[in-house]
Amino acid sequence: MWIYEKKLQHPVKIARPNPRLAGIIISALGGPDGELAASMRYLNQRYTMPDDKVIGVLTDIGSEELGHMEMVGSIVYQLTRNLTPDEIIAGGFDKYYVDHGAGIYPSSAAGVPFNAMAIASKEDALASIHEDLAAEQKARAMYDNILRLSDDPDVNDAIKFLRQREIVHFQRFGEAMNILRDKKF
Amino acid sequence: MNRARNNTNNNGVQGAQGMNGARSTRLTGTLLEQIRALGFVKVELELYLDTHPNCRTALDYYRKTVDELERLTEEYHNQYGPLVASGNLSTENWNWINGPWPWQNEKMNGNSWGRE
Repeated sequence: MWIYEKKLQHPVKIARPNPRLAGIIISALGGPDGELAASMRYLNQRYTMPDDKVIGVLTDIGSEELGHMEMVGSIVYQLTRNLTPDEIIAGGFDKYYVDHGAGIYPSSAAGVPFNAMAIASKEDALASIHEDLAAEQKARAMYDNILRLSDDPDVNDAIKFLRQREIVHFQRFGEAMNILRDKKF
Repeated sequence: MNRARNNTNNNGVQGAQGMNGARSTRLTGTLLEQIRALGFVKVELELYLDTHPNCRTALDYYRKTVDELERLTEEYHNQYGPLVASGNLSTENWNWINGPWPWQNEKMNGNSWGRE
């Protein structure tokens, strides 16, 4: 069961709206390697894990990813305040805007709605843990790409925090994999 | 937690590095910033303890963190309002729903408002 704390894990304070960036960063929310995908992987994989420590890791990292999902939603929200039609069009945000306005909708930057086919959850514990290690690297690479495409220091501050967390999660899943291997699963 | 130095530039947390050295966290900044920093240390320790459940050093550090976090959170609840739904029940009305909500924190046009 989940409790909600009314604060962001890391602050998001963006001074300048930027619909172009919003249209890119939406992938960190609803894209194949975004935070919604991460939380759905981990929270669904944990039920059949054969080790308490691994269940703990998946539960706690999965929960943290929900908090990251909130951060990304906050970034996109702040980047899309008070846009004029000209700004929407110039930022290439018009195709998202026509269906969602400045509302937050989990999809990728290319416009693909969030799809659970991007994730794997298998009873086979080693298969799922390898998926998780790959997922953290994919997320880290996605954040690298966002940093290449962004010149906004407020946005980059939040993105760098999220990127760093993926690296730490990768280490934790490495430990989880060793635990499973030692138990010969 | 040998690689925990990843978090040294997060919200004024200092001292939350390797398990060999860390015993507590030095905090800077506003009350919310301190709560955020300690909340971050708490999450980091939870993840570490999940795979190192018998590490006494981490467990002691965790207990200290939770105690301090509870103290600061209660102070925050009394001064500003609830961070969890049950955080402050002394007011006449249900202020849990009061804004600003965490994403409503724009500093557009030079204006800064909100709790964050």
